Amino acid sequence: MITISGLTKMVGHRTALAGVDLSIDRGGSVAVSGPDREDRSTLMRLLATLVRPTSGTIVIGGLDAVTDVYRVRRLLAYAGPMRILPNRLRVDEYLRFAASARHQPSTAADIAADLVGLNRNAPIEAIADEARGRLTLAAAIASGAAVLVLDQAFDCLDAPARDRVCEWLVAARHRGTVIVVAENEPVAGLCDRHVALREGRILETSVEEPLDQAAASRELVRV
Amino acid sequence: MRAVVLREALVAARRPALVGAAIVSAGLLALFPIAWGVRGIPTLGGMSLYDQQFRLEWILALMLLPWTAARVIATERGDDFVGLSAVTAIQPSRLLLARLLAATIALVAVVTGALPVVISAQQMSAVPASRLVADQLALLAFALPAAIITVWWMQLTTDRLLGWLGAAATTLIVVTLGRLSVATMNQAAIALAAISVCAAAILLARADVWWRYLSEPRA
Repeated sequence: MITISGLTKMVGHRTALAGVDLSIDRGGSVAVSGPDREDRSTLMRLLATLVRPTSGTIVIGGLDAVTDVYRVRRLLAYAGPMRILPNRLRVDEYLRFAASARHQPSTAADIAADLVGLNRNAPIEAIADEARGRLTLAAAIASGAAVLVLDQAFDCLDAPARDRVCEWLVAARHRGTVIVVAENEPVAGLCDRHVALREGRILETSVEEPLDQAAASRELVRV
Repeated sequence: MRAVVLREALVAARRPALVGAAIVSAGLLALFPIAWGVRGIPTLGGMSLYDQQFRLEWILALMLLPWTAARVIATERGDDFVGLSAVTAIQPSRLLLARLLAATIALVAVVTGALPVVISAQQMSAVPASRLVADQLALLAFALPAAIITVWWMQLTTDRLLGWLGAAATTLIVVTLGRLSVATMNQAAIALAAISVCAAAILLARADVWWRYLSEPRA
């Protein structure tokens, strides 16, 4: 479903990614960890086609993410640091718009709002800036996309909302959705693969076991 | 596409500026005969009340339409616009087209809001209805270039005031040039509408390239 080969990215004069190779099959889920949050975010934004790679290729669903950027975007949804402007809309209006733009029923928007714990009738401008992350996550959930790219998307959730979202994501994975998650701490039970990004390269990979046992023992979520 | 047009229209309809502009426009036009009577301003001799009011309508359109468009359109631009494209998986050109449509519809609403007042002046001055129709169609056609110029300016700048001032100045220059090139204001409006459709087509053709990626720090 996703194949990344020799991916490099220069951010200013700094090399954020220096030849990343990664492949994820349909229904696969990968947790990306590493000491540099910015580098992780760069990888996630590249996957989401929001920034252009310096070199290397990303192929998603058989489509090149650089030459076919708009067709690739139909396959994926991104939730991460991104501004959502209120424009005098309510939460349900925004989410229903995001869902219907991707030909999803309005119920998908309502379910997503409930999962992340948003009041559907609240005006977006009444939601605190830090809580607007929930809105981007809800929009991604409501999109029905085949690939979900979640960059620090769990930061804004409280424990019950995390539980609900994780449960939903695990179910989505079983339906074939690809999930790529970048978090400071592993979200237990969500991903079957863990990769670490260090100095722009993927250095270690573990399958079906958390990267950091100590972190896992502080298990944030039980699914 | 339908979802985006509905969203842009909803955003525009929710802005108080839309109703405010319609009220100001209709109100000032209604005040004109009240202030000057059925003969209009005496120093503009030879011109009927309708003619004088039509001039005022054009002046108001030149000032109010860019302001209204700047105030009512959705505020995403630059990286926010790229983000909106990513969230919806809709190309920026289509998002922009929806915004242009919504802005044009909003401006048409402002112009048509003043129609009862204009019809009253036409009746008082005994001007043929065909002329009223032609004049109002020209003003409605002017909503298109006003919307396109303003949307373009609002995409260029993050400052709404600067966007409005830029759009108002550009609109004024374009209308002045148009008026100098053809015989009547109505012809100028129709010509500008035709030219603006071409300009919009160029803008839309480039939008998918300009707003493809988020901005990045330069190396």
